[in-house]
Amino acid sequence: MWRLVMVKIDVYFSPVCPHCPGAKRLVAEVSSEYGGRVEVEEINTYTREGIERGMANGVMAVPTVFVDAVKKFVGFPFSREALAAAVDDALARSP
Amino acid sequence: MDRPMSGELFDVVILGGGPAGLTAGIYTARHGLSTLLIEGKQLGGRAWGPHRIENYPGFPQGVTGQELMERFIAQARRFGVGFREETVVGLSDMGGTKMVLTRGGSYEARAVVVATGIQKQQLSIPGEMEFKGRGVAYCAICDGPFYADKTVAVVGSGKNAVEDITKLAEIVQKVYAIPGSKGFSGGSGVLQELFEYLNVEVIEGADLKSIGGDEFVTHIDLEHESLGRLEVDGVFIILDNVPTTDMLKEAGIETDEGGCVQVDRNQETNISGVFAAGDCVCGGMQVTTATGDGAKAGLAALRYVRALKRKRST
Repeated sequence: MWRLVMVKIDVYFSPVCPHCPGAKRLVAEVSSEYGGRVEVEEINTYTREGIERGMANGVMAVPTVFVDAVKKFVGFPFSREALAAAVDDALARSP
Repeated sequence: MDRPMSGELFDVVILGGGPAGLTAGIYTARHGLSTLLIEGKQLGGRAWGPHRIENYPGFPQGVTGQELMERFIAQARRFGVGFREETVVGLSDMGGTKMVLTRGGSYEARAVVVATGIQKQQLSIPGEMEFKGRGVAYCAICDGPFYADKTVAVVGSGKNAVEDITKLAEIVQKVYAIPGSKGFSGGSGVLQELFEYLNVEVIEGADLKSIGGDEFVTHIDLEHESLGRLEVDGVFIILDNVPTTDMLKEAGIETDEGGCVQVDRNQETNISGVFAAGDCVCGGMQVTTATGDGAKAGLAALRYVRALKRKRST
């Protein structure tokens, strides 16, 4: 069976963080340009599961964005171009 | 965001997409002026963030910052405001028109409304940028949970720093409060308040010199008569907000010593045809005051552009 998704973006966020909505919006916009090849997961660090998962992955601030399990951006803003480049790079390495 | 042509002439170019800038755009575009709004970060500005705004009139149950700003943006779009996602790097007065320079190009404007808001200060000390997100943080309520049962330092002397010290004291094992060599701006009352928190230690007469560690922050070095190094897991830098006006000063726009743009009763700066509104003029730092400023600036820009066009046609 075909599995279209080739790159996974994890966005660690907090509902009280003023910069997180911008990061989530940009990730959603950029990922939508890849026609289903990018899957986005938003992880709420104001939950026990979210904070534990974040700390296990070295997250110490929000927003933090991982592209294919590699920490790419901490804080916001980061540029649309930089995010797209990270996704392109991950796609190029995708089997 | 929309993609207008670089170099195009607009009646009004608005720098900043927070409540003040959006309101100014609603007023100018609704009256038929071609209006471009440039925002490099987040449309809605600082107002986008709050979980709930309880004091904005017309919303008796409160409203989230995001919902309120989405309404502002939709209203501005309805009247024809164009949006451009770019960072403004310069502004110059060319006599009849103004030139707005961005990283991506330039725009010409008959009038400019500056609504660039405020930004957090940075310490600019060794280790700050290197360990950003790896132990250096700027928001206690956002990032405090990552430091549960750890030791942190809070650097800052203002009201926000004190609030964040007390928030962190309830989460972490120990807080070193470092207000700097000038002490807390709130004076001895603050020391008394913090004294009630057993896990808060105020380090008086010390300035932060550097932040160090390996993968993550492990220590800070101080300029202090007896203390040199403190072992910490995190450093929260909570400095007062300052107006985002560096670029404006270079353009010749007058600010006060705190960086606040100086305006007259019509929100006009010392440069004719350049108006300013919102947090960058250091008004009330509220959405309501920003929208009031923005409306005045929009109306003043409208009068200015109409007078300019009348003058040209005669």
